Amino acid sequence: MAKSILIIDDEQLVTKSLQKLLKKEGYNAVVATSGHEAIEKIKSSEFDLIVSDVRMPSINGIETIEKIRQIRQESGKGHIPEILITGYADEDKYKSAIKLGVRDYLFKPFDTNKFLEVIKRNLDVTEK
Amino acid sequence: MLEQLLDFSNYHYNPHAIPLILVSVIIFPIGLFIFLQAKKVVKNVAFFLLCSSLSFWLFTMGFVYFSNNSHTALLWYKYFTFFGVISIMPNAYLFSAASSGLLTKQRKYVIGSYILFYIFYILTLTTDKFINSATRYFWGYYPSYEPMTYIVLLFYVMDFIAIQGNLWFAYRKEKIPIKRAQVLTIAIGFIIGFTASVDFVAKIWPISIYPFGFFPIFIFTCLLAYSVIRHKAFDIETVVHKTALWILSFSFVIIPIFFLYRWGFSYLRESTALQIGFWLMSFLILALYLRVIQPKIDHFFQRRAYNLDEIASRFTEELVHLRGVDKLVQRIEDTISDTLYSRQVGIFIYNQAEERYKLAKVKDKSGEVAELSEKNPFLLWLAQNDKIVYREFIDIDPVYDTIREEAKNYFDLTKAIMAIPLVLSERLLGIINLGGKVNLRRYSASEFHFLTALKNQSTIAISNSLLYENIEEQVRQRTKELVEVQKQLVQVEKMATVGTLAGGVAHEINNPLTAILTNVQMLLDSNGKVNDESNMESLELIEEATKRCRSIVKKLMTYARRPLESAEATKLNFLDVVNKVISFLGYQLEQDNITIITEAKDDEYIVMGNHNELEQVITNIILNAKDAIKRIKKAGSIYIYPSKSNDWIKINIKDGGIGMSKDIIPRIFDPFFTTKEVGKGVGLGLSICQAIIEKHNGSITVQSEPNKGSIFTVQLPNAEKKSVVKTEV
Repeated sequence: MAKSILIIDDEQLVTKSLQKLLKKEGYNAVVATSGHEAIEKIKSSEFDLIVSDVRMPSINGIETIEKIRQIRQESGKGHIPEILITGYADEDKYKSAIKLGVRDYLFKPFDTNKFLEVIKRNLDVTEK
Repeated sequence: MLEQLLDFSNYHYNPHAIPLILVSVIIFPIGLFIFLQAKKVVKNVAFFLLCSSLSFWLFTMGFVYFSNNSHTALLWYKYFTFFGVISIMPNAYLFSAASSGLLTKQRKYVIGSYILFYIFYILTLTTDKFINSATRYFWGYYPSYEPMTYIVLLFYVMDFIAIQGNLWFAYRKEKIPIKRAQVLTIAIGFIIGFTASVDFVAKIWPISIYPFGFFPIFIFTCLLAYSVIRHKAFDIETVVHKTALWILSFSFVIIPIFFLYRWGFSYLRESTALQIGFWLMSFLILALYLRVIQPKIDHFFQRRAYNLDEIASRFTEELVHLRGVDKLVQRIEDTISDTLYSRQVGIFIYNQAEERYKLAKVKDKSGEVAELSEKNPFLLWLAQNDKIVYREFIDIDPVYDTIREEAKNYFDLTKAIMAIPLVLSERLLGIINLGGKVNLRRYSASEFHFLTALKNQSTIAISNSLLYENIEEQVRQRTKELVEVQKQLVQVEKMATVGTLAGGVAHEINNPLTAILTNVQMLLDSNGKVNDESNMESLELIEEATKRCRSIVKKLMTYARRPLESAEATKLNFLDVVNKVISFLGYQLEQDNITIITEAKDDEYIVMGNHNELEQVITNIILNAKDAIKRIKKAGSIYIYPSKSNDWIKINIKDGGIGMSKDIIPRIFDPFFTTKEVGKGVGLGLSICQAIIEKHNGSITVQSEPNKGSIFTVQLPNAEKKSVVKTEV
């Protein structure tokens, strides 16, 4: 069965492109345009991987991930690996991401090959 | 008619005619002299015409008196005297217009008055309505006027009123005391001159008032001549003394002797011895006159014209009130030409920037050079010796042994005959070059004394003025630099804003770039496999993303652009500025969970301003508002609402942020004052904002309450203010 990936970004140009790319690679890609939407989606569906933007209005990427982890934990579900993508290297955000244990942190604009490689690696980890 | 006039049997000796002839003989050369001094100056020409009229009138009137029958007297009067009398009217009017500077304005009236004069004269000759007979009085024949002469009289009075009006106008307009005095003299002269017409008036009703008109006319001419001379800086000594007074006083002696000899003592001619005795006596009287009376008159007039000490002290007084080298130099030139009648006055002032002496003021340009080198050996010598140099003395005085040739070269170059250095502590500030005198006399010892006083006063005054102008120039320079620095500061502050916003901009631009890169690589990976729908979608995404990048870059460039020097302040809609800033900051604020709410009516808020600078002010306040909100909460709103009155346009920016306590508010506009942490801002923002707004004649005010928020109000003058008073276009 195709792996399911949740893409969280307030920028539709990004979500559309990434969704198209991942679909082409044979993944099942779902888009959330805000942290709140992502949380709702997590509650109703299962995902194998989360790709999230950092800087977003309302709640940002890091807060969204924290919230998702909390929900997962409360409902006794396992951890979903996260990849953060950001347009701007904000030192504070980067540090808190490391602290949170986010596996990968990519800077926009990234190479599709690199992106797919990171996706693949993270999904492989889940399988093991 | 000519035969009758030339027939000597029609005349007899009449002593009453003598004063008339005398005055007439004096007036004419005065007018001629004034005319010769400046042949192209209308005032001088008009004066000459006026003198000619008066002279002609009096001279021919003399022959009316000499006539021994009414027919001859009438011929003289009708053809000649009346011509002189009525020609006074246009000539006097021309003179008043010319000396009041109203000639161009009154050209029509002047021409009109000449036409009128011509009509009167023709009518007098061709009809009997003006003068028809002559009556004998005890002083001689005098014409009887017909009623039509009233019209002439009426125009005479009107002419007089117009002349006084002109002079009154000139008197009120004139600010320079000497010239006011001149106008006043002319006005008084005309009033005195007008009394001469009383004898004319009296004869309309045949009342036998003695025709004393010659006397006021004489005073009138002298006053006018004095006034014209004073203004034109002719030597009063030369004009009044050397010509008029000489002729006058000499004729007082000569003419009586002549008439005495011709008609007085007929028995004289019968005895040779008596004749010799008579002439010897006359000669003695003449010698006595030349020896005693003439020098006394000389002395009297000299004293009046040459109270040099008084002029020098008045000059000193005037200097106190003069600002600026130009006015000073003008005053020096006026004083010298008015007092000493130098033909040429050239004043050179040292020009620091060009390192040479430049001609600042010149009375007569002929022969003057425009500038002098600061290395001129004679000028260097003058700076050392600080001495008035008279050309005549160069050859004889041993003082000039070392510099003789150079000094001669200098005077040859400048065509001057005297050089007056203005030296202050061995520095030559300037030189006054004088040419010869109009009256061809030499400069006297007392004049040297006068020039020395003038030189010292002028030196100090010019030195002060140069210092003053120098300081003024420095202030101008500094102000210019400050304005430039402020402009740079605004730009620096703006670039700093761009820097702080760089994160936001990077984020904003990296999103579309991600879309572009992803889609381009997908297209490349497709390896030529044609999948129309998918490829098309990728291309569309790329297009949209590229456009987005373009608009972001454009926005950034508009914001960070250098202000155009020429477009300092233009009419603009303040709301446009606000909207531009909002569109620039929009993304960043959105990312920071700040919403901007603008409540603007569909109205225009026109102010005069510099777009770039006003943008900076609004940016600063909005970013401050954002920081104030972020310090107490994660999200918030900034409300921006404009308001306007007839006088003012206001932009209010309200936030629900941290606010400020009362003790901080007065300090927020101080330079380098900041409540932000180190590294977040240097604290120049609001002080620059205030400087910008004050430059726009507006103000920034703030209301604030701790933990509730602040309202910043930027107020600028309404550029479309409707004036209460309607102004004419």
